[in-house]
Amino acid sequence: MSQAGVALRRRSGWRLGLTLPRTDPEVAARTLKRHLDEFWINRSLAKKGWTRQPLDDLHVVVSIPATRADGAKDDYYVHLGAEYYDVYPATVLLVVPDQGWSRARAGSPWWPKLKPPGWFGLHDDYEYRDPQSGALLHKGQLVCFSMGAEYYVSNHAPTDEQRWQQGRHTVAATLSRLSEVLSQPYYEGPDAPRNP
Amino acid sequence: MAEESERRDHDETVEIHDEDDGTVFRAEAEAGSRVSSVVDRFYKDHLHRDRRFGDRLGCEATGDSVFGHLDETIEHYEKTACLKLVWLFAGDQGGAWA
Repeated sequence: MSQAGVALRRRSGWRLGLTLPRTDPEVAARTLKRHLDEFWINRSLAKKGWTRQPLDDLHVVVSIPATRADGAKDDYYVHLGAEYYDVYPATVLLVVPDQGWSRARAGSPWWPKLKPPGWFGLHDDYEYRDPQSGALLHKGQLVCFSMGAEYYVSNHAPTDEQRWQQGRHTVAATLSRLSEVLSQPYYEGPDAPRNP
Repeated sequence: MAEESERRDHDETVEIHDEDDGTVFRAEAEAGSRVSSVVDRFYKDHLHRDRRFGDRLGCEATGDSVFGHLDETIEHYEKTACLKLVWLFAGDQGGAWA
């Protein structure tokens, strides 16, 4: 997992780097499960081919079916972490469905080829340092959107409406946006062919 | 009673999934009422706020924006634009450019 911190930038230009506050693990685990359960049932996700595999109380891997232009489906695996949930969004990492759920890399079958909308970016290796102290706030994969925790470690300036709001947003916002970019017109297929 | 039953036969249920929090809002609407009346009710009773820049509300089956059909009747909209009245809502979000 990447290091986690947060860089808050105001439109006036000043920046502040600090570490994301970890939430109480029991509360975070309970809250993530409740939100995930509600989203899962309300959207009938199991019937739509989604799966979820809890790894421990704070971590779960969700598979999301992506849809190509010709209707073909490819599953992608997303590792979610509740370390900061739900004060901040869940951590988000695209992973490989191997024994250790290792980080997916660009150029591999588990990395999606996207033409994403402006509100989403996917970086294979992204480094961000606190501009004042030089401290490393993030290094690694960055699924870049305001519904993922790692977004808040890097150089972004969401409006109040775009920013994650505890009590308003849940992991449903994270997963629904990921599903959206893995659908048409944004998804083009795996970055490398998958073995049958 | 018969009149009430007849009116209910013409009612439609619109299911709006709030993709920001995973909840569902269901609204009964008469077939001849405007799409805007359901949208207004969703904002008032579920979101408790006015519409904002960046809000998206689309037909689940087609992705077509509901906001482009506000003046149509539910009956017309259902027949021509969204055969199953299931809508998806998402508020604004930031990303690569914000």
